Amino acid sequence: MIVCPACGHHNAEGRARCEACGASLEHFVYRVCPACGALNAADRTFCLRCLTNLLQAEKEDIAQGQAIAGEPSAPPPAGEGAPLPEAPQPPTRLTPSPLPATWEETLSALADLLPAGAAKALAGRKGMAPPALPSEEERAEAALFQRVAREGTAGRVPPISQPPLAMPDILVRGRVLFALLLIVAALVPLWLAPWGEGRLAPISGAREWLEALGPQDAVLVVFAYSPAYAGEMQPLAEAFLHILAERSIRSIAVASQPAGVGLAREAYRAVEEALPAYAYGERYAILGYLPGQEAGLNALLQGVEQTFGQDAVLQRPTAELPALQGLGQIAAFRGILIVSDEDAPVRQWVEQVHARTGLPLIAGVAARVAPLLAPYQRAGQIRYLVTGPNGLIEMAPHGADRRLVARAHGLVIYFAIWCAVAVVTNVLYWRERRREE
Amino acid sequence: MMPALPAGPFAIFATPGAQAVGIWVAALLTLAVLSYLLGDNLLFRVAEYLLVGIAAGYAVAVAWRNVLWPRLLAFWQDPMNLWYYGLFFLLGLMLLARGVRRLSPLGNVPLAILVGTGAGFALGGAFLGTLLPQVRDTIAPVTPQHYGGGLSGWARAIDVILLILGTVAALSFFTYCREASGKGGRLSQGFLQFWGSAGRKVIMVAFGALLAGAAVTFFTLFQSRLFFLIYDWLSLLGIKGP
Repeated sequence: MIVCPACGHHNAEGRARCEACGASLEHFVYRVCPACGALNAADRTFCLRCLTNLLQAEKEDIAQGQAIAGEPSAPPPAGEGAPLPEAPQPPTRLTPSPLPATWEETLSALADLLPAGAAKALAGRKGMAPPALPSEEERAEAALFQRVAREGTAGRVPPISQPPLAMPDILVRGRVLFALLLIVAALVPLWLAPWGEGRLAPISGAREWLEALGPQDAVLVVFAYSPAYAGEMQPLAEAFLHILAERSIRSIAVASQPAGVGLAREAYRAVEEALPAYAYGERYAILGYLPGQEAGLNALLQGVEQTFGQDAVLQRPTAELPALQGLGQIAAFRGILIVSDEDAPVRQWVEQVHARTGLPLIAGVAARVAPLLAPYQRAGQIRYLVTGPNGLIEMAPHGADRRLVARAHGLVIYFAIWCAVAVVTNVLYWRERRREE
Repeated sequence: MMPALPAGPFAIFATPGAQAVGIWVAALLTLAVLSYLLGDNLLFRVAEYLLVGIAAGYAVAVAWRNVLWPRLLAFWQDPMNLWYYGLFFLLGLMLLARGVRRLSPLGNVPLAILVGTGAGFALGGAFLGTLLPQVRDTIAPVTPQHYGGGLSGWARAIDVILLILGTVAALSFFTYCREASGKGGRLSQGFLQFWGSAGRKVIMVAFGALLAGAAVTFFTLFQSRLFFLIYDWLSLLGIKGP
């Protein structure tokens, strides 16, 4: 809550201008942490830097200030309005000071802020017209501002009456309602078993392409997603690896970001539990983290063994791993399978590796970056683009897995809710506009 | 079989008991993050800082174990043949000098190498791997016969026409020039304005597609967290999911 210094109207946190009178609330945008001095946004309860409870600290600060001033919860003078039941805490720490009466006084007040002697130099400068002193109206406003800050009260000046706005209430309640609807959209499909049977229509030929490979072939698997997106990308990576493991296709994993090594281990572990014959070192290997982005990819093009001297799991020289036999060069792989939550890593592999080797590239990407990579698929640089829950179901080893199908159907409900919310809010907005006109 | 993740004294973290503790920690942190729905609070902040801190720590550990240490060891064992590793480590150390005001000029050399090689590879790759293929893909025949004729041929042809028009319109939107004079100038300016306004709509459609993609991703992540709570966490408490 931000109390307007001009009219005392209670504004929602984060507002730059008063809803009632339009006065600037810029001075209330930040909360200064009393413990460490960090500037925090007005809607923060805890300090960004030291986690101090800002509300509590402000309360204590104000109480302390009032005790020193000797006027705790002083009632307002008669005729200035009725006392308020409880004083809200102003969100910023303000130090009231008397208003300067003259131009020289204004400059002397700035002495601490200006470089040494600048205030005097400015005052004595020839031809410099002194700015106009604040008008009576401005002085009255500033005095009110300071009183509100000092006494921590609001509402002395009755707020300007405005027609009630319907939208904010709807939006505030709508946030909670929307969250509940999201939970419904996510979970309801779990209970709708008959609806979840069967596979969705194929969205790409990636599965067929992978299934056409044999045990003599090898695929380079790139883990290019962060743990934050593991909820979407990890099942997709596991689905890809499962297809490779079922056909005993050799796979060599590299990670384009440090966390990718751990994610690769987790994905392979899940596959190994289902298909124990797919053994580490024999059929697959994790080479590790490849730093350097474009430069790293160019190093990899020079030779796999030169770039990765040893694997990331057993710490054995890569030349000794049976899974890597005959795979000294990138061109020895049948294709590259990249799982990414960003478009940049995929683009780097397209530009640096595919453009020079012509190796087929299959990209399993987060839905949010799929539109950015669609032109590459259209141009044939990415052979298959697998994305979204439907892509996951298409790749998954068990087509009718309840959780996977629930994901796709949850998405349908989610978009239905989106559409409903969009229609309702637009109709309400339109009605409000009509009423105003 | 891939060996368990922690080895030696850390093998205790691979036991079932430790796994259960891990699920509990993950579930509580998930709830802490979701508590932001009720407003900013201490639990959310702690979870947020834990994520950032652990990610940074893990990245450093992997970079040391997977990248730096093996090469340092190799250089130590065979410095004559692997002298270039020593040079790279020296450049790396010089980069650290950026943190010390007096020594910061030392860091300019490795920084210049990093920026120069990075920009060189990126520019070359972007030209050969993105610009040329994308331009080549836009220059496509628009006759249905080229695509086999029939309904699908027409569909492909219309698709290509839309692609070309959309590309021209989107590029026209980013035309900034001074006001043209003369009949020809006004004509070309009007042409650009027409296509620019159409391009703006094309760009809005592209942004809409990106927003929809982001909505899918974030909903999927949200759903995966709820499934984790139901299937992994509640099953520890003896509650079976659907």
